[in-house]
Amino acid sequence: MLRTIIVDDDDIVTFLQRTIVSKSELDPDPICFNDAEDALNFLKSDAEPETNYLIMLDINMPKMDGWEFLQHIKLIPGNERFHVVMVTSSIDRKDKRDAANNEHVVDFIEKPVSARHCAKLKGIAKLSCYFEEN
Amino acid sequence: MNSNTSPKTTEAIITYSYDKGILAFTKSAEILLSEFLSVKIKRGKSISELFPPDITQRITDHIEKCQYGALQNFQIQVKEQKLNLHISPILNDDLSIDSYTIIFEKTQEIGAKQGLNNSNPRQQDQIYNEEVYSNLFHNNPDAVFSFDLKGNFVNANESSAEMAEISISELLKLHFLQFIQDSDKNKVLEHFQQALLGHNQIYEANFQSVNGTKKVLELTNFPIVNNKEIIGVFGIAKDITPQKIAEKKVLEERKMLRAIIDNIPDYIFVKDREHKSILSNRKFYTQILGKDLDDSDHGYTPLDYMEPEKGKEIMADNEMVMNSGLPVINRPDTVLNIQGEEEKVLLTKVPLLDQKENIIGLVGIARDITETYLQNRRQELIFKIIKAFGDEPTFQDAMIKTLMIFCEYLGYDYAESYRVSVNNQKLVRTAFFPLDQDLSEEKNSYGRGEGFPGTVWESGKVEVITARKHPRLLNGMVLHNNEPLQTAIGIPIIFQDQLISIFCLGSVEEKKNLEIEMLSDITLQIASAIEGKRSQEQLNDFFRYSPNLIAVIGIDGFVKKINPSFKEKLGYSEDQILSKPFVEFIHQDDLNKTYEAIEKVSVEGSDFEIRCKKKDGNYLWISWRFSQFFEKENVVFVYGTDITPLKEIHQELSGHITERKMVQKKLAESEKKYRSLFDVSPLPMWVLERKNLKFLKVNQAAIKLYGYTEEEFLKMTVRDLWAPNQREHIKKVLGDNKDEYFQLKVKHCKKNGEIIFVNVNSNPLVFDGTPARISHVKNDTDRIKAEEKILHSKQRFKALIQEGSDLISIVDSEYNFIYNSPASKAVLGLEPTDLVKTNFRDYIHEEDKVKIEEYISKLKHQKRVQLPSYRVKGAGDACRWIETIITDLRSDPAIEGIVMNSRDITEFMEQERELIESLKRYDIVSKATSDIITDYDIKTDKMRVSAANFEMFGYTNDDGVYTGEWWKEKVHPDDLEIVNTAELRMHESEMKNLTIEYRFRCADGSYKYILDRSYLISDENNDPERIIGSMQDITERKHHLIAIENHNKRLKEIGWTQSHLVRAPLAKIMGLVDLLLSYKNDLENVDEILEKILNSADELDAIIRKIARQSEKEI
Repeated sequence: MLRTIIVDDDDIVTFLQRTIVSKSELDPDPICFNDAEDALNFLKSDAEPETNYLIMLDINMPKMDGWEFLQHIKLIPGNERFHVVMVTSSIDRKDKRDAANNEHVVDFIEKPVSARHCAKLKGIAKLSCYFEEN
Repeated sequence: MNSNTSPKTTEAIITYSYDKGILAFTKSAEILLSEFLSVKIKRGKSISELFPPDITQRITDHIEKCQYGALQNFQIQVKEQKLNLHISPILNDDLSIDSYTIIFEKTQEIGAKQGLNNSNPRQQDQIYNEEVYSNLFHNNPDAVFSFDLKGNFVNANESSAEMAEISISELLKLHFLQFIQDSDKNKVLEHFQQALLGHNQIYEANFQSVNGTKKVLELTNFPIVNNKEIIGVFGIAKDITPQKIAEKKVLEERKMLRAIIDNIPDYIFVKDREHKSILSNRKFYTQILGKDLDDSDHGYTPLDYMEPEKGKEIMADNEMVMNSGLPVINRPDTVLNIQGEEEKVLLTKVPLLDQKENIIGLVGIARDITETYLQNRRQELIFKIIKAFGDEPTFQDAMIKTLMIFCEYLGYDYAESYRVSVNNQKLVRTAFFPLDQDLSEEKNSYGRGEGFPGTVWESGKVEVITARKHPRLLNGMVLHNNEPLQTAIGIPIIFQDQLISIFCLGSVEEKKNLEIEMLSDITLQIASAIEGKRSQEQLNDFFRYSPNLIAVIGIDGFVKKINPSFKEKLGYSEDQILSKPFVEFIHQDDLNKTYEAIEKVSVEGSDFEIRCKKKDGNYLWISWRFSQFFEKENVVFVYGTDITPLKEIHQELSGHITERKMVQKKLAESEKKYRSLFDVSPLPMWVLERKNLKFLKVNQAAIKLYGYTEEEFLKMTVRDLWAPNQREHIKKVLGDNKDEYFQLKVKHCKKNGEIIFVNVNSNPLVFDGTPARISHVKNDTDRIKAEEKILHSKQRFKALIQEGSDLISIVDSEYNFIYNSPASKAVLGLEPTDLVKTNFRDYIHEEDKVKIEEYISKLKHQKRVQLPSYRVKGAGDACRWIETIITDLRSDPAIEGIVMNSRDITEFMEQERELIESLKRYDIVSKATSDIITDYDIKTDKMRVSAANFEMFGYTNDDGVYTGEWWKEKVHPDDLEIVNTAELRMHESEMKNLTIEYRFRCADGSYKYILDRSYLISDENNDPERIIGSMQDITERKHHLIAIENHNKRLKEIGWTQSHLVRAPLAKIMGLVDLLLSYKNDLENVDEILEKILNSADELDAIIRKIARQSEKEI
């Protein structure tokens, strides 16, 4: 099973991504967090051990940014279930390079997240098995 | 019972082969036969060697009969002894019979002889026979029994009962057929009948006991004769089951072995020492012997199946293996099979050993590698062709080489290649081979379907023609030795469905092995080689003719390949560039920039501009761009564009005007200094162009003496000054001393026509980059005129000596002073009396001695010699420059010595040296063009600094001289290492030019950025002598640069942040709108979305306003 988690400090962004994610049938009811730390706590203690998580992660956030978040999930046991999509408003070449070198990052999206992005995510090797019947 | 009767000694068994003699024998046979025949039985011996001829004949007759399967029993008599012989055949796998078992058996007469002491021989005989019989019957380990005429058991021994698994009494109630398995019943009955008819029978049969135990028995039946009447049959049954099982096993193993070796695709053969075949596998007997089965036992030798010569060769080779015991392993060889085809094999021959390790033959295995060989040949051919395309510089050379390879490799005599013309209308010949034989000189282009090449073009397939069938197509194709081509093959080379070339190969042989298959197989490779070469050639053209610099750079720091543009732009040869790390060619200050660019090479490419050093020491600004990075080879392609003109213009525009002025002022000063030295010299001086003797510069003294103005002089050559009739003489002196110092006495003509006598001293130098001479002129007119006058006076000698300022000395032949004029005091600082009894040579400076001796020696042939300028050591070791004329007047009775006329020219030499130095410096400094001129004398560790300019650093020093240490101490500690390294390099690598940037401490403790350009001057021994430097204060420029860089960095940061800030709300709007568009019929909260769009738009607006305000502030 694959669940989607949206992490972004901006309410409008989480609203937008939630709507797109559910409309594009990536996840009917994605879990949203305004704070990366909350998301981290969820993954640490409330995440289902059998479930894989697709995490749409904003890079620029006030308290804990996306990169720190990535550092932290490395310490959570069973982190191989976490597949991160970096979501940013402006693509920096260096960011993209760093992301490519991170084992958890499966994709890198420039905002806004669109229906096409979601469709593309379904095709990613690590995730495609959850959508094959479609 | 007597031991002689035991089967061990009474029965001797021999296995015998007709061809090979005795194969095996029992110990008893050895004893028995040596006893009777007094010969030693031995393996390999034939019957005839054991027995006398008559017996041999008998035995041989029986063996022959036995060959058809019949058992032979007969008796022979040797000496007094009778022997029973039983010969039975041994059947081979293939049902043939070539060996036999011969059993020798002593007759009972031995026993009879032993019983001779009995009184009644007949009775004794009877008793004895009974005993023997009884013993034989009852104690026999084999089953012994007898039947009546019907086949019922009459008698049987214990062994019989055991075998039948029944008691004797029960057995005697039974018929033998009961014990015979059904399959054999008829056979056994038949044998029984034969025995009843009086014939002995030995045969095998399958037996079954009453309990069903199955055995294989060897049965012997023979009739019981009583009074010449057959009354029954005796039988002996021997259990041969284990033997049979073993035999069966052996047979199976042999079958298996045979199946294995027959199915091995190699040739396998076993030879004996006589080279006869013992065994061969199917491949061998079918392919070499041409047989359907292995009849190796016929003993074929290589002579039977090979050409005699080859056969002998093979036998010699086999012999070597068998004699030396050294195997031959995988030796490439050629085999001619029964179809006459040559096969390439890898041959292995191993000696065959018996159990005692004797070599009894050899085992050979030949692996057919014809396919592999052909494959290798194909590979080799392809490789050669690809190599040709790689090695040869041009496309045409590669084609010629390919044709040559075809001819040499496949044995063709002539070859041509064609390509399709650009307009696709014609085939045009691209090459032919051999180069000295052009068979299509008259016609070398063909239309489609025309001629042989055209035929191949039309069909698009490999075409073969022969002179017999296609005389027209090969018409006129006759080689120089008058041999016409008989066969030809045309091969189209097609690449990606396009015909790119056609090869036509011809041979003078009528039945040439064309190797069509091979040629067809390799066309694709040739095609790609051709295409590769063609595109490579295009690339090469680009590489070769590009005005830009194109190179392959290794990450190891060396340049791997350059295009000719390098030589043109930078002036180095390819070797010079490839043999040094590329940093050697890059301006010191640009190294970091270069390293940075190289670091990023695998990530992204952008242009970087650096200064590259030319061979002449100047720099070119080159804008480089890394192209493709080949990670595996660790090389990168770089393209460089010369942007020096751009840079120069830029620099010119941006250069400070004040800086210019300062440079000019400095130049003017230096020039003035030089001028004053030159101009104020009381001696007339000029600088001449060395080649055409044109005046480049004249001083005031010269103008005064000759009466020409400077302008007039500069339009003249020195020739215009020469008085008539000396041209040849002067030319010779000039010619002899082209680039050297010379001194010359000439007559010059002044502007007013007056003739003057001058003494010219001329030194070579480089003036403004031009080879020149600086000459100073001493007007000797007055002196010479006076001399001339005195010469005629009686007092001439005295006057010369007493009044002359020159030193006149008379020396003897050994140059001991005899007389010195008073001028010695002025010249040498010594009174004439001090000099008497000393030697002239003692005063000559060490370094000049050789030179002077050389000149002195000329006195042998001429009366007068002028010595070149030399140094003498006077009083207090003071050195003076002297010029001397020596005249040999030893034969003059008035003098009787050598007269030396010396003049002190020290002052002049000093002046000249200083002048040359100044000119040199002037020349160098004018090249350096910069602010503060430093002149560091390495030997004295003194640095002379142009004082006026140095004031801007806050230092004042009256004479402007500082020590090297003082100087070093002022260099910023962080830059000291760079400075030291550079200095070291200058000393060690003989680098003349150095440009370096460092910080220099001012008197007030602040630092200025300095651009220091130095030039190293070496002395005549090439040892570093002094460093002339120009220091340019680039502090302001540097600060500007740093400020600009910081500013740029800040702007970049602002730009980046702002784009992020702007993009965030913009992305939201875009996303929300996208949502509305994509799901407009499926949204329940449209109002909410619209509201959010509005919020985001407001946010965006606020940010843009903020940015506008900020930017305004920054600007």
